[in-house]
Amino acid sequence: MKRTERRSIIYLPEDLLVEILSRVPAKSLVRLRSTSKRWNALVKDGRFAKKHYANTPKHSSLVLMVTNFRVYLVSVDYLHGKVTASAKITSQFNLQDHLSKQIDVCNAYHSDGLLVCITKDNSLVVWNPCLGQTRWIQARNSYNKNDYYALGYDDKSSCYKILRMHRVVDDITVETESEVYDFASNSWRDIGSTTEWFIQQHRSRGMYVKGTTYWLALMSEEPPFDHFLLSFDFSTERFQSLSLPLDINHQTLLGAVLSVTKEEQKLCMLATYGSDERFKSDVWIATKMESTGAMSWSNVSVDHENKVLLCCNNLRVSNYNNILHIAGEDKYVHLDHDEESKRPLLLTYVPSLVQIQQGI
Amino acid sequence: MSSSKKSSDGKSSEIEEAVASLTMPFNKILLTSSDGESFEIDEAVARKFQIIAHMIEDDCAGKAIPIDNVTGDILSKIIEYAKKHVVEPDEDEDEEAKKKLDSWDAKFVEKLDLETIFKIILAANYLNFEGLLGFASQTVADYIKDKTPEEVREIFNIENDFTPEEEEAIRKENAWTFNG
Repeated sequence: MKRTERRSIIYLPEDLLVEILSRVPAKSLVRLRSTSKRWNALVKDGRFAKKHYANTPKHSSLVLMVTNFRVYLVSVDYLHGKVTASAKITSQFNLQDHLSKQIDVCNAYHSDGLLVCITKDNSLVVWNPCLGQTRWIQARNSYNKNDYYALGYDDKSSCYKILRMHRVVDDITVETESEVYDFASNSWRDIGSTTEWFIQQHRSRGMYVKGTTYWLALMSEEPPFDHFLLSFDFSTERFQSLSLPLDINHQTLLGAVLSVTKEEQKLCMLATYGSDERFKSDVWIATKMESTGAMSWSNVSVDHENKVLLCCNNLRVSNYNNILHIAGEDKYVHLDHDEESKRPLLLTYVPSLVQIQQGI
Repeated sequence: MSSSKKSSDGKSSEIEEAVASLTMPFNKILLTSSDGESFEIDEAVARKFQIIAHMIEDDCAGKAIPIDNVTGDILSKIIEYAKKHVVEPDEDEDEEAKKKLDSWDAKFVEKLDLETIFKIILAANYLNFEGLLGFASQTVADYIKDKTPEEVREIFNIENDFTPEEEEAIRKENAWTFNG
């Protein structure tokens, strides 16, 4: 763009200012809040946040790293064609309570720019790190460190909900008790329990796509336990069992990660599977879901630019921490961080300006 | 002559546009800017401006259409862009063509100053030319994303209506955006 001598005297009406600002990345936009009161109000406007999020490139080049009770923003650079990919820490997010005291974060789950965090003193909080907004959630029972959580949006009731899965393990069975908290009523309610299936610890982080969270789960019947795709719909508040790609049936699953495609936000899965000594890796995109639970998967060749996925490997295997796998580029990025600490938790992240409505 | 069916499916309206550009090459439309400059363009190009496309479909487009809100210099730039974008290449099917067009777009906007781009945004909005509105908006967004609030106030001619205390409070909230 040419530089102009005189100041621009064009006044842009609100809707055209929105056209421009909704295309500015979240981090820059938040920094520009102090431009004027009008801009500050716009950045915090819910309808603007929606439009902005729709324009955000959804291919994750951002990752959150939770380590040593702190949350860091990591930028991943994997330009198509460059030989190596790299990742670096660009910022630190601070979770604060109402007294502006910094809070230690133990664990976190991400959905569309919002985080559900479990703090060191066992509190539960929903947090938008972009705007610093928090909503502390009252527990019904005390939180158990082994609980799993998921955050999702119910677009029928227009409110956010949190799913909590509490596992009770004895010699014979694993029982999973589920309850849901919704932002509208500010309360928890039981939605049932089951011993038919269970989710393993290292698969406890589900993948949230458009109102539904998905996990790789196991049927509880006699070994060999069968893998399947478990889904929870935040509108109907029901679990459903969905089929995995046929190739995987009855195979040993060495590693599997759920993710979403860049453009159309479709659920996809990267898995290494096989039997005996022969294993291979593949990527599938979920193309169609029948009401019976039959899911159609399409195997994709991963060399097309659009099919690059960023997968965070959170396996508790010593050499595989701090590793981001860029499937499609076939690159592995090792994330350096100075702390000598327990294994960091990595989450793919898409910033959102959405406001968390304050409750009572 | 012209189809007045409005398709809800984006893909088939693209095909309709492409067919229109093939079967109506000799239909010319005359656009007159607010300062009296006239531009004769193909109907296919004129249809990129939704307000004109609707006029054509409702049969109220005469041979000459006055564009009251847009001056000649801006209108000529808009028409230049529209001509290049009559048919948008599909990224998946024709990567080569998409790259060439992106490169042309970059050169197109490189030569323009910010004031002209703002005027283009206003005009593209008035004409309902979505493609150019999006592209010009993205250009400004890319331009300001690394600027400080002070620089942005200069660009948009905005007065800072925060007190120093208020501004400091906001900066504190956004501390994470200032590093890295």
